[in-house]
Amino acid sequence: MKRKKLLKTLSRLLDMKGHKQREHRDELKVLLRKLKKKKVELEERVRLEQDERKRTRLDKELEIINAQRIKGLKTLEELMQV
Amino acid sequence: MLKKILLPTILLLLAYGFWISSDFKTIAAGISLFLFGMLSLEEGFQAFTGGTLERLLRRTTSSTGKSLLFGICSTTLMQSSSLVSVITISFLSAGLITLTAGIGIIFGANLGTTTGAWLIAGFGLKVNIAAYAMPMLVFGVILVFQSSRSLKGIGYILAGLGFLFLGIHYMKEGFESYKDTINLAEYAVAGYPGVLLFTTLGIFATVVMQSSHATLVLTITALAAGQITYENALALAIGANVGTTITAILGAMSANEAGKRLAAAHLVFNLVTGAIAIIFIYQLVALVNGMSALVGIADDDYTLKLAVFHSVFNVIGIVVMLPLINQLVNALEKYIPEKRPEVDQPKYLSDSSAAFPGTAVEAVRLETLRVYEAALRIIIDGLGMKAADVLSSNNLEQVLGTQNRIHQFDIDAMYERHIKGIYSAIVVFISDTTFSRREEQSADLRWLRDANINLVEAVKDTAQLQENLIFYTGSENPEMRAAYNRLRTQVGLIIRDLEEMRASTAGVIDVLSLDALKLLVEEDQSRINQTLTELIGKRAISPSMGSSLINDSVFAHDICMSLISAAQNLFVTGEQHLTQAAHDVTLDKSDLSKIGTQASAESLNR
Repeated sequence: MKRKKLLKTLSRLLDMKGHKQREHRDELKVLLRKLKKKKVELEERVRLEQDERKRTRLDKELEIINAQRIKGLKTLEELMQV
Repeated sequence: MLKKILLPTILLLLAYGFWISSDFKTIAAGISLFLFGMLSLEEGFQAFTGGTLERLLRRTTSSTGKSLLFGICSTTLMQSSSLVSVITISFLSAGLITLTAGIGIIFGANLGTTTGAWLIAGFGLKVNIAAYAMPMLVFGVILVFQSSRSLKGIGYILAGLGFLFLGIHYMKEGFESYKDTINLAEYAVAGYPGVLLFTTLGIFATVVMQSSHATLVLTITALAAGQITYENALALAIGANVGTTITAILGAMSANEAGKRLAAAHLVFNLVTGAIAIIFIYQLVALVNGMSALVGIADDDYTLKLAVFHSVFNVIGIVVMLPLINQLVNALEKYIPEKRPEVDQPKYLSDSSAAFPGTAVEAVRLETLRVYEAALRIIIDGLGMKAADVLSSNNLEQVLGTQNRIHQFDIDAMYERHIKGIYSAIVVFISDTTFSRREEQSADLRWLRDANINLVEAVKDTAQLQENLIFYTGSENPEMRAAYNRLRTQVGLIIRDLEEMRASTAGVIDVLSLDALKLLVEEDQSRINQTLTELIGKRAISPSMGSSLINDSVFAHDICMSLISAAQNLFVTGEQHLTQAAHDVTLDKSDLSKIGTQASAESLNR
């Protein structure tokens, strides 16, 4: 059992393609976290904004971030399945 | 002609040498192994470029002191000032570092290379290093056959060190046995003629072997075997220092002006240092004797004293030249000026910037930025706007509304002059770079190529838009004038937003927010279409005017979209490791239209 585990770890270490995919996944996770943070910031700004025109612009940005997050989550899901 | 004769002559001379002396054969084999080891070491370190080395170089060259330290440390680590100087030239050619920083690195590399003499004199000759060479070679060769780039790199480094050690061992052995047959010390020349003769010999040997390290090892081993005198060994070390500039000079031949300036700085530094060492050689010998006595080096340990001498005269060179670094930069910029061709040519794309994947990507990025700047100038002028108005916070539509007519601006000629040369060079450079790129670097190059295509499309669309714009801004119809001014304003405001973003240090998230600009452009487009329908319905404009306006609004829309897409690929200055992920989430036309439809449905429900 231990030997099998060791072999699995070794093959994971030597599998460059898998390594690249893990790296890609991790980068996407970092970006999604950043987008979430930005979304929370924007929501707060929209809440506080008095100027109607500026609020509309911020709303647009918020919509974009939501769409980007959905797209990113979908890609992440696909990467997890590979 | 000379080239054709030189190689066979050298080969024949060597063959004759091997035939008459087996000791000479051993020494020559030692030198060959040593040089092969250096090649292998360079190959190994190149495996780590395209990431770590570039990041380190960028971070550690912000001041002259730091550059100097970087030069010392990197050369000590790599044991090759040639590799460091070639990398520095390629970084300078790619515009990643300044000339001052480059000169600092080269000065440091000169001092760093003296550690080689210390290692060989203090360690290489006293220990049987061949014993270490064998396992290094075995492990190195096994690792070289691995598929992982890093393991391969480590393998080359280990094998390189193994060959270096083995080479030193054979040279040492060769000189030891030479001692019994012939005494080269009998040919020693005393006084200044001897210094000049052996300095020239040192220069010649280094130029032939392309390695000061090899000359120095040869000198130290010959000195240890008593085959040359201490005084002549000092002169050989000075010659090696001057001769080593040949690698940088050869490297700079394919580099741009910046690379040539650095190679010239290297030559100036080593010539000045060499001249000081020759003029004050006897004072330096006295200083080395004093210092050696102070640190406990035996009076007759000439090999270690040679290492001290090598370090001392390079330190003196740095002390003399460092305060003059700005004057040196000014003089180099004056005597090696940048050529200003009729048609703009690439500044950063050269053979030396193609040598390393990281510098190749950065060079293409910098060239693409030049294309971007030229494209913006052409678009602003082509649409009859002024850069000052576009880039200020003025109400652009109001400013443009006061213009009565737009003058003809030859967009095609400007494109030929400012963009085509660079654009073509970028395309060729991307196709020609034959190095083994990593996946992410290939992707970076692909995105940069797309950015160039976007920019060229934006300029071509501007040329299409210009014809009717000139005609209708001078039109009697106020609705048409206003409509075309709105199109210009749309493009101008997008350029304003993009330039504001470029001025700030853009991270991935900022660049992603450009998708919001794309959405605004899409919405503007539907508003323009709405207005158009109304204008045609009210008979305020003729059907032919309407069709022109519809076509031109599409051109304006496409210009904006192309510029934004180019900016998304170009503007990330930090967090470059996240660019792949950023491309995964960037919204395309269909994503944006979904949001647009959603927004209009919501506004209808309200």
